[in-house]
Amino acid sequence: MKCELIVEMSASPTHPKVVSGEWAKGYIQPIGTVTEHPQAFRLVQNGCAISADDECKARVDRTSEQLALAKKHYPAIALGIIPEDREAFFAGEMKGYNPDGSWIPGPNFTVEDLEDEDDDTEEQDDE
Amino acid sequence: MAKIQGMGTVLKQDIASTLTAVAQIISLNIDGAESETYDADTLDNTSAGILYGQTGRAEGGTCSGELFFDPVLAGHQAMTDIIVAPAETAWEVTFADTASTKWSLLGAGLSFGTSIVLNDGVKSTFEIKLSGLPGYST
Repeated sequence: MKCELIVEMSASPTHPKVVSGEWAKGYIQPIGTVTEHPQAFRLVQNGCAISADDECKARVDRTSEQLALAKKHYPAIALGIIPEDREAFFAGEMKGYNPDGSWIPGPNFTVEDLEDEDDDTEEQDDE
Repeated sequence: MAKIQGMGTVLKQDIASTLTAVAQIISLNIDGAESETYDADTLDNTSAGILYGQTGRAEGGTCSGELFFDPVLAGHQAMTDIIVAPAETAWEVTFADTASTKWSLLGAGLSFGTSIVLNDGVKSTFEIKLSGLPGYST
């Protein structure tokens, strides 16, 4: 069965093209890459891909709402964004974490976001 | 030289030859890696210290962790897939450092347990038995 990636994703070391040497280890598969694999439906269920054939579509067994939720959250999961920061991530206010845990500003980051982040940090310290 | 926070660390599992992030992980522990030694002591060792030597082999250890379990989440179902149909599985840990440093892991087997209690979310613990050595960053 086949699926088509809707986010960039690393090929596994077991990917046939990595095994053959056509792709380097850690190759980032671009959006639109078609994967043919018996477990391709799992990528669709995870929100990383869309079905690319009827076999995959039939096996996915998820409602459109479940798939939409998975698609929304997968990019955040892939970056390790904790649930408390997901709304900020979806709003484009942050796009990841610095090694010290502070936000990497997103395209919609504002000074108010910095103050909110400081408030969250103080609340954690108080706890 | 930096202290890196755990927050933002990601565990990925090989699903359909693609490394896919596992959701709702609470903690990770990569443990048990050890270079194997043998007792190399001899009768003519005049020191009190016992001597050891290297066998040239090393134990890869395990990668274990805890997560909030959702039986409907595809990523969690993919983990239990390994119980139903045991298979060697590639994993990857991405640290939350500036370079997003990655360790590659090869899982020979998986143990998986789920805990359901009154005063907490449904949690699962898992342990991946590593084959070979972790692919440490170099």
